[in-house]
This record gives sequence, C-alpha cells and structure tokens, in this order.
Amino acid sequence: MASSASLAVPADPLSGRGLSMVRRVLLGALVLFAIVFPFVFTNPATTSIAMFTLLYVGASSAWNTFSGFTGYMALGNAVFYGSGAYAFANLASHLHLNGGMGIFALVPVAGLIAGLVALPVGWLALRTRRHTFVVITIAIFFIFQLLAYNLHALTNGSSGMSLPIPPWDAQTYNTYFYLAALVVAVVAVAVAWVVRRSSFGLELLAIRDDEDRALGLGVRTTKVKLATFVLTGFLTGMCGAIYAYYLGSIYPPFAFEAIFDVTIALMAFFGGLGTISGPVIGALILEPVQQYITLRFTAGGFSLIAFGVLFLIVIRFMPEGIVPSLAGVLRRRLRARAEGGASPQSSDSPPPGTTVSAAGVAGGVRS
Amino acid sequence: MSALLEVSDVRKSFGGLQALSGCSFTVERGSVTGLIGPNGSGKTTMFNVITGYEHADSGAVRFDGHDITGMPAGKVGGLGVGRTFQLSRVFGRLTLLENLRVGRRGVPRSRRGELFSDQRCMELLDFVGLTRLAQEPAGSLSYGQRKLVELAMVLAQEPSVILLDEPAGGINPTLIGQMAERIAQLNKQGVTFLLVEHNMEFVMGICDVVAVMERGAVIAVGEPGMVRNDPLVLDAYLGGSLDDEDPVAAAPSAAPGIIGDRS
Repeated sequence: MASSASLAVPADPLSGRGLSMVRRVLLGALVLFAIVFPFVFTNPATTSIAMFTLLYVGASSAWNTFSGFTGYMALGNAVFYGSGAYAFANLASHLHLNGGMGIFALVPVAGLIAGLVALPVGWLALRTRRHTFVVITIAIFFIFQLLAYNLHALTNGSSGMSLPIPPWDAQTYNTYFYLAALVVAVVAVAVAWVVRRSSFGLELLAIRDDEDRALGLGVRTTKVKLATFVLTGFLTGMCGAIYAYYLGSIYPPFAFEAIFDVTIALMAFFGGLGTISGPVIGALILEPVQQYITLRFTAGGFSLIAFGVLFLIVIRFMPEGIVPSLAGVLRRRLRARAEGGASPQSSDSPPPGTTVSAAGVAGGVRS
Repeated sequence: MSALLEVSDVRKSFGGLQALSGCSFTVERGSVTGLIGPNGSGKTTMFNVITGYEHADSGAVRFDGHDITGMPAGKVGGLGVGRTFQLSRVFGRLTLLENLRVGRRGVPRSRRGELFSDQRCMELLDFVGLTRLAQEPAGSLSYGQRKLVELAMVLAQEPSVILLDEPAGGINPTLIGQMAERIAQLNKQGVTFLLVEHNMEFVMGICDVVAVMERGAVIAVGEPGMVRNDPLVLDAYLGGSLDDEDPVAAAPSAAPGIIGDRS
C-alpha cells in the first residue's frame, strides 16, 4: 500500500501508515536491549522471569491478532498452547532427539500442529458470535483439558511426558530459552503489524465494527476469521512448545491452564485491545509483576487477586487500555495546540431522535 | 429503457406479520426510482430481500438478467447492487479512508487497484465533501456525514444500481441538498437509483418514477406528478394531499395514526 503522505490530508502524527524515524530508532533500541538483556542480567531468576514475559508477549499478541482485531473474545487459546506443548513433546520423543539447540527447530512444527488443531476448533466456534462464541471457546478448552488427561497414547495422561534435557549449565540455561522466546515474540508482533497494515487486517477490523455490513460489501467474513484464528493457533502453539521444553516435563494442568486464557486476554486489555503495542506493553508490565508476586508471596492465588484489582482500576480509568488512552490524551493535546481550540466538527448535529442509534453503531463491541 | 431490476410477486412474513404480500415492480436502467409508502408498508424489508440481507418466502428478484433471489448479501453486492442503510452503518473505529477500502474484496480482482487507489478514494471523499476528515474515525462524524460516507463506500465499488434507504432522513437541509445534488450527478453518469424516502419534497424533486407501497405490495407506479394525485395513494396516506406531508408526520410515533385511519 502506498504511503498516505502523498495525499492532501493534514497528516495525523499518530495514524500514519508507515513508521516514523523516531519510532524506528526506538524499536531498534528496544530489540537490541532485548537481545543483550540476558547477557547483562545473568541472574537465573531474572532471566526466567524475562523468558516467561517474552512467551506472554508472543501469546498475548497472537490472541490480540484474532480477538483484538475481530472483536471475537476467545477464551480458549490455551488449547493451542497445550497442543503446541504436547506436539513438541511427542515429536521429540518419537524422533528420539537429544536436548540441545537443534531441537528448537521443532518449535515451528509444533506451531503448525497447533494451527491444524485450530482449524476444526475455529470452524466450530466461529459459527457463533459474541457471548456464545466466548462460551464455546471456554467449553472447547475444557474438552481439550479432559482429553489431555485421557488420551494416554498422546499425552501419557496425568503422569505427564518428559522432554529431552539440554546439556547447558545452570548459568546459561535460561539464555537459550530466552532467545528462542524472543524470536517467537518478535514474529508474533511482526505478524500482528503486517496483518494490521494489510487489506486483510482492515477486513478484520470491519468485522469487529459491523460484521454484516462487511459481508454485504464483499468481505468473505468466514474465511478471513478462520484464517486469522488458525494463525493465532500457530503462534500460540510455538509459545507452548518453548514452554514445554523449558519445563522439561509437561502435565495436563500446566499445558491446558485456564489462567493462561484469562492472562493473555487481560494483558491485551490492559495495554490496549486491538493495538499492536498494547499486548506487548501489557505483557511487559503484568508478567514480571505476576512472577514477582508469585515468588515473593508463595501463598497461591495472591497474584490473581492483585490482577483482579489492577484490572478493575484499568477498566475504570482507562477503559480502552493504556496505549489508546495515552494516545488519545496526546492527540488531543497536539490538536489543541495546532488549532488553538477550534472544533473540527461541522455544525451538522444529529437530531435528538437518532442520537442513541447513531451512538450504538459507533459504540461497537465496547458496550 | 429496459428493466435493470425486476421484483415479481415477492412474499415475506415474520411470524404472523406479512411484511411483503406479493410485491412487484421494476426499476428501469438509468432511472431514479422512488419507493414510498407509510411506515410499516415493507419498504425496508423489500430492500433487504433485494440485497440478500433477508430471504423471500416466495417470488423472484432479477437483476440485469441474473436471478438474485435468495443470493447472499456479498454475492448480490458483487454483481453491482450497492445499498445504504436507514440507520447508516459505517465502521465507527475505522477512518473514512479505511471505511472506503473495506469493500475492496467485493469487486473483481482486476479492478481492485483502479477502484481502490488512494487517489480515487480521496476523490470519492471529495465528492461527498469530507476530504478534510479523511483520517478521522467514522464514529466521530455527525449522523448526516455518516450517510455521505456510506454513499461514498458504496460508490467505491462502482455499482450499477444503488439502493438508498432514507438518504435524507434525519439530516440537516444543507446536507439534504448536497445529497440530492450528488444523486442527480451520479444518475447523469449512468448510475441507477432506487430510494426509500419520507421527505416528499426530496422524492418529488429527484425521482423519475415513484412506486407506492402499502401493506407489503406496490399499489401505484408512475411519474411523481401522477402518483401524487392518485386516489389510491392519497387514501393510503391519510386521505390528505402529499404536498402537505410533513417529514415529522412520517416519524415512527405518528405511524399508528396513519395506519389506524385506514382500518
């Protein structure tokens, strides 16, 4: 797509389709920092938290690419996380592979298998919308959890499966996983970025705002939704594979964890639903906090309570999440400065009778 | 002129309510056809049936030689039937430019580049006078402006017929004038229009032919001047003259009175 700079439109500093120079530099610095991080902060406790944070950056970003863009709130992505974990464990054990770097090559394969799982799951769940869709995804999650306990041939049931042990010493052990998680996180965010800027992504956003209208304009809504759902499954599955390899053994309650579903959604909400940076910022803030609280207060569940309180605060004061709220404040400031208080609205105001319905259309999923 | 759109004996009921009871009419190629009638006479249902948002119980809809009866909305649109909605349906959180681009997939692949180029999208926004707001989210626009965006969204796909559901409903007089002007201009370029509207001044001003619906069927068709003196039509509308009709009287709250007088 061509840049919008050629158009005779007053450029909005926050909605340009390309990346500004400042952003590019910031982004480069951020990635560079992420790469050198484990070599600077070598404490295994720190690198472990960092590794989990990156896994959640990837998983939350993947969740947002489907749910944030389409407005379909999936609460069963742990299905793909778990499928990726078990796919990885099965591949490693059936191929009799030894632990080491090479085995990371199986991560995308495990992702593909999770994507394959997402195909029938999406086909089924996407026959419904809104609340029904949410409930169906939760139900499918519990079915998978149950299957993990009972499909002994694939999961070894509740005894779990063990994975190859890498020959790395304790000091550098986390670094390998950290870098693998970084690659997956960058891929997930890059995918979200590419999707958002494509006409495909525009169709997802149109579905979010008014699915039937999009259908009438020729958007093949079913195909577009399913393709994105499978893409999300693939990315989430890769996160699950790294997770399984890191743990060294995998059990049904770890692979298929209900808290995972809530956490990735919460991170995206917290940072900014449907934005690229939202889930990244959400995960960067929430995952270290959660890990820290869990380490500090071993009493189970305390982090969940803290999360709940935090969530309520965000919803109350920044209902769109951190990124859109701050961007909105910034945009209003810039505009006020540029126009000296002049209103951009025309004098044509909606008649009293239509205000409610018009607001209803604009409100979309937010209500 | 040959008929571009042909509706024959369409019936549709919702539960016990017969919304369309053998509705037939044609829209000639190159015309601006008005579809008028009291509230509840089935105009919007007729639009929904034509554009695939509802399916007829029986009857047939033909467009440009194709049988489009029961065809899904996306396919009907792909053949060149564009429509707007009574309560304008724009994508509230997308910018105006993005709104126009959503319909990209609805046109043949070979024409996408040409129809959805940045330049043409901007031209369309210019056509409806909203260039200045190109990067604003559509949800921030006024009700009347949204109707214009909807028109531009439909125009982006270059349909051969456009169905407008109350294009002048609930918008200010300046925008009504602008809307009428745009419709006349497009019609000159060969676009056929079928429009539902309660504002009689608007209808009489731009329509070549007017079809009057009552209780789910077309009861009269003719030139605006003829229709407004047709006794059947006058009877349907309270027994009064159409010239007296105030747009406010056509608002939903007044509807029971209009229908009540008939029965």
